[in-house]
Amino acid sequence: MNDFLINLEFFKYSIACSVLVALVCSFLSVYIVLKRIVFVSVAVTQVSSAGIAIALITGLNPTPISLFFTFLGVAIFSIRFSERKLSNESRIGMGFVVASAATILLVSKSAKGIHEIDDLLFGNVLVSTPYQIYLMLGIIACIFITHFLFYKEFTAVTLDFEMARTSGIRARFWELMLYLTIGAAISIGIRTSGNLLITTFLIMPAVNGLLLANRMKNVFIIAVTVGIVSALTGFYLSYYFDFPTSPCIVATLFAILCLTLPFRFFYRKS
Amino acid sequence: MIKFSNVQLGYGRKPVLTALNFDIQRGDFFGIVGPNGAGKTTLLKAILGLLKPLQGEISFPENGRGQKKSIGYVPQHASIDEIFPITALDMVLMGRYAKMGIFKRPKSCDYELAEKMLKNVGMENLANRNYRELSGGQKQRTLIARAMVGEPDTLILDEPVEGMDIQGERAIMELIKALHNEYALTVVLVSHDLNIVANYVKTLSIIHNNTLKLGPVDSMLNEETLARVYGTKVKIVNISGQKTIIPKLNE
Repeated sequence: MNDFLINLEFFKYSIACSVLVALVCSFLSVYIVLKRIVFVSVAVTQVSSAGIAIALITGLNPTPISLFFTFLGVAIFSIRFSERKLSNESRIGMGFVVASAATILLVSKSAKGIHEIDDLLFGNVLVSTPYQIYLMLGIIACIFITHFLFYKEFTAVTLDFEMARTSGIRARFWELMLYLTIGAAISIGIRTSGNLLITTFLIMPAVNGLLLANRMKNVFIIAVTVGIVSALTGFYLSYYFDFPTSPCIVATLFAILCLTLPFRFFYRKS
Repeated sequence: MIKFSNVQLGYGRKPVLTALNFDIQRGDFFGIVGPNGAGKTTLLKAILGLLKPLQGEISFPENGRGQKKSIGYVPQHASIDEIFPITALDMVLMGRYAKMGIFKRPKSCDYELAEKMLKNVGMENLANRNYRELSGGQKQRTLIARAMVGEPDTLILDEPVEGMDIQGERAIMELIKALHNEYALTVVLVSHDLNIVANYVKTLSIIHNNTLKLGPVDSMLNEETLARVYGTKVKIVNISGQKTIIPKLNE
């Protein structure tokens, strides 16, 4: 532990990035799991990775390129088509595989090749700079302010889209806004944390919260706490055992989820 | 109150219902029935404003409060996702969100109205119970309270007694009837259950051959019409003033 604390200076920006990503993605995961759009978030994350891959081979700034591609993905996947001939699920699935293939094709011709695929999957802590952190802080603040101001609109379109529309709420607009905040969270974290970790943070903390809590507020609190604790613990374990960081954080999240199951069992029994 | 003028409804370019010309009068208890796949849901979506007509116009004249339409919608209770951790009171409060306006949080008057509506539907003791822990009938009552808390002029219900036992069916229909009388509500109800519709609605509309025929329930409910619409012979019997529709099994 002492060794870790001594070397903390080297990791401080990477840890800050991981915690910020955990904070915002864990919060948004509640909407993703409740709205049953896990697959949409996975596909959008992959589209964001494709944006990073384009930035890598063209030498452009990855954050705005990733943001552009993420919003494009959000706009496409949030359209509600009639499911009479083709299910939305298969449309999103196609988007996911095409974005994955495009990412691999794009980076395969780059000089770094496989290392860049690694970066996209698991993130790159070396790009965690003070500038990156300030940018993340700014975008995360905007996301939280939006969600604080429009909580009732977001919960209404998440729970019952048709009721929201018929009652006079501009449901399509608020649903798109919800998706855009998710897209923004994905694109700011994808470069530092990678595809695997972002996807995990967009699903597992909410699952934990929903298993333990019976009220929306408590689900948000548990999801965010679990996300941040997993990020910090996973980071320490990856340092201690010399493992890659992202899989360590994912494993920690899963271990916490497994530990909460007995609590859930006893809670239901009581 | 709600006027259909030469309306054609459908998906893409394919019409499902054509030549719809009718009014739903203020204060009516309007039932929509028809065989499976006839277009009941399509018509309901159009009344709710969720489906734009391919042709013609659906108009909602202004009410006294200067709003174009004020609709309370009660979906089938099974359509609400049970993973949502929300109390019955919060579910009802959601019906006030559009009235509160943007940036606003629920105030004490909103909570009071939500509690009053829960009391009106006989759910006051279950206000803090999680929605997913309620029975089918209790969920339906909660959704009716949610629709009513927005103080609508028109209450639209999609299969309100779907999946309920006889006692539950009767209790929900009596509640809708009481709300219709107490608040002078226009009620539009879609149901596949002819026995329910026959004994509660004033105006009955039957979807057949891609269009709608409507009239007072007593004139619309006759054995010839139902046999033609449903393709099977039926008998309508009157037991203590209650109409019952029975299919003739051997014919």
